[in-house]
Amino acid sequence: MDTPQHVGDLLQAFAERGVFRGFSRQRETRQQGEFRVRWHRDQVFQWGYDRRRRSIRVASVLPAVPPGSAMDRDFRQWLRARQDRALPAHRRYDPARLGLRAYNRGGEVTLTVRVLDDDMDYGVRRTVSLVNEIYLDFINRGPYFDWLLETFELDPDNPY
Amino acid sequence: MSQHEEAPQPAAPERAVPPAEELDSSGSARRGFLRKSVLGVGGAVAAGTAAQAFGAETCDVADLKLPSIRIPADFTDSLAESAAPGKFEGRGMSGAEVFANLCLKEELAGLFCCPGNYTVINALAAAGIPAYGGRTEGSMCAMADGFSRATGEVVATSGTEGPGFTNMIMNIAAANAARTPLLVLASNMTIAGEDRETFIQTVYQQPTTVGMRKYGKRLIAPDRVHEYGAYAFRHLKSGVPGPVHLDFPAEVARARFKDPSELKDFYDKSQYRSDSRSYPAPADVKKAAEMIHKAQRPLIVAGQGVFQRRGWDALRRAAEKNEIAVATSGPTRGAFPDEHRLCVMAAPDAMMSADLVVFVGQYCMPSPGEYYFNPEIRAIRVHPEQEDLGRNWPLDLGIVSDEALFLEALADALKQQQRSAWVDEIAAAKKTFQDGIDEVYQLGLKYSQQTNTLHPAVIARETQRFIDSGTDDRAAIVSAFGGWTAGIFAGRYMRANRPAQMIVPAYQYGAIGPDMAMMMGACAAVQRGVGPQKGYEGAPTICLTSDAGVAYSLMELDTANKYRLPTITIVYNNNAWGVWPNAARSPRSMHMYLFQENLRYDLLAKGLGAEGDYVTTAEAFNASLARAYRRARDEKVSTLINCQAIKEFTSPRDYPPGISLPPEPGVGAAAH
Repeated sequence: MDTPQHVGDLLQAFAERGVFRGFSRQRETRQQGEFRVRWHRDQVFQWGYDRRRRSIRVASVLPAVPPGSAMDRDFRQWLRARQDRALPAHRRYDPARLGLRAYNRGGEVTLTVRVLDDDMDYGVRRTVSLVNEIYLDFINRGPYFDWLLETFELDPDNPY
Repeated sequence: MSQHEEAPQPAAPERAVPPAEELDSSGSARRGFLRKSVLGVGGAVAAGTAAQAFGAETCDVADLKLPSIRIPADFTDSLAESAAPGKFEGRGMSGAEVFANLCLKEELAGLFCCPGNYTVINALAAAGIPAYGGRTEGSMCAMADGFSRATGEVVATSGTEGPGFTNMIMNIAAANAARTPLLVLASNMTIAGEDRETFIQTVYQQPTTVGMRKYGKRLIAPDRVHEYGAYAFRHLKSGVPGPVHLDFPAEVARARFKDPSELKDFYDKSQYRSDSRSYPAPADVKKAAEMIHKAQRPLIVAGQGVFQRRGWDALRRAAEKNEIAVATSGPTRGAFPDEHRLCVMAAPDAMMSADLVVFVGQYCMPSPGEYYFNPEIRAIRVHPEQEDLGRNWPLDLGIVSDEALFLEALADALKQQQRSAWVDEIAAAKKTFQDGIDEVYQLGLKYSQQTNTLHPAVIARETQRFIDSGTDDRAAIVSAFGGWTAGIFAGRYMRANRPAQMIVPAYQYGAIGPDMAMMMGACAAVQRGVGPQKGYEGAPTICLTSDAGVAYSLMELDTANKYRLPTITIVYNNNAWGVWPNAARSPRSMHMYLFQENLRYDLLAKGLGAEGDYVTTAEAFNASLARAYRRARDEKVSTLINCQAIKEFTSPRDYPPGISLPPEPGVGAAAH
């Protein structure tokens, strides 16, 4: 089950459970799917799925991160650490099953997750979990409070 | 200042502190503490001792002989007066006295007020309700809230109509966010003078509290005063608590009643409200237990309802029986000990691993994304009111039940189960968190030495270390933290290990400023040994707050001192509002965020009859804490410790890691 429709169904299930604040299926062909997800900080994330590459893409998962900046480097290091053997199995993004990469183009960090085995359900679920951790762990717990306020134009008294 | 002697505290009728011998059976730590603070306990109940003066008759200031700050004899004489509740005989009872007698029967735990609403507050004090009068209605309202957060009891606050009442608004709203059972009282001119703006202080009160109360009513029919008192307590003591606002026009407060037949619906509380609680449906408990048994890493989030319903023993029994992790959330902390092996308050990584959450009594519900949970977590919610189930957080199972009764039923239904992998993961996550804050503390020490000022991590960590090892009984110390920068740092280091050992002044509403006054209210509860504070009478309380926050409550040091409430207030003084970085890119705005530098809040404290220290190093801070504790314990004198800092400690660029958001829920949580 690696069709874009199946990936859309899996994402929709998260929306129906109230994990996402909003969700729509934009385009689904035999090979590709495009989805909109309203989630953390009320952002709309563009999710894409490429069946040939077995790859899930979350565009601009982190905006306004200058390439080569300390934050850019920290994020890549944080991403590598998600696949560390020291993590419990349920927290680890198994490197034998998932390939995690981040691209920074013009300050927009895009996340791609390649599903390396047949288990697309695992790939989608873990990608959802990864984006969640980017916002709750990487941003919140790191030294990015000021970045958060400026980037998302948030009130410091209400940064969620 | 030299000797400080005991002054009586407002005594609670028929609720005397147990003798020391009785308390001895509860544990050696308490015994040791009580032996050392026996004078304080005696003072708390011995209303009737002589008036006390502060030290010498005069003090030298710049070679001038000035009279010393002292507690007037009229003050202590007044506290020593016997209660005299109103009676129908003779002159009869006023409407205020009818209401006061009802409050007495309902065991109203205290009144915190400023003068105004005279007929009502005088009647409450005369009836024997323990009463405290202070300097601003806002702070007295916060004090009442703090007392309730430390005990779970219903308390009252009062102010004069117009100005006094509107001064309370911020703290009524804070109490509402915390679901505090707070009775807000204010006079309200006369019904006859409605709309005429006669003389002063006219304002429509009831519309002002819409949105920040559970129930409100302007009393207009004098013969229904008892009935509306019943309305108030029915709301205060049933379901999810919250503020109740009654305003008393003069026609009601001053009405005279010489016979019970003159009052409508004048009957006992056993008839006008019920203590019945909803039991969970057996099928719901069974399903919840099945979901927990199937889960690998279950977690209970115990909210304010677990504290309000005193469900902490049942919580512990359920958690330990099935090795369920526990986090607490609410304006009162410690219902589950932070140091318990199953507690994840200082283990956010474990929280993210939970695969099932059981929210119990979480009155202020977060939305997904606010809590440090993974997106696949399944959710059960237990709440006393059906209509709230499913609000904000989608549920796999909703259960209508009283919180304590649910936890009892759950503990009975659960299998004994060991989850060694889960317990090991919690332990590892705690170590990771501790290593992280230890590292920040070391950085803070370095920054403190570099700047000759105190970093907030150093203040927070040293405060908790003092509570743990510098006091007679660490369980006796109730603490709180507030302010923006100070609060965010303090939460990570400070711990609660028994019910109501910590209150969270900023809980959900995020008010900067009520912290210090709230802790004076909590201190009053500790001195009287009310509810979970029983056995800790005489212990000082500690509040870590900010220079921005202290401005709102500082004058109440006068109140704390005259009632001999031994508070220690630690002020993180960074010369600015903590949110100053918001002006960093707006140069013409910066002036609005800054104070004068190096302000001496410690000197202000001294001017109010308390003690004050100004410190800039960790060593001086620790020495000051020790002195403040001894003074508070032995002499019942409050101290303010002014910790000089710099605003740039907030900056991740100048002093990494700067400030970051604490995971919610957890030890540093402010919103939940």
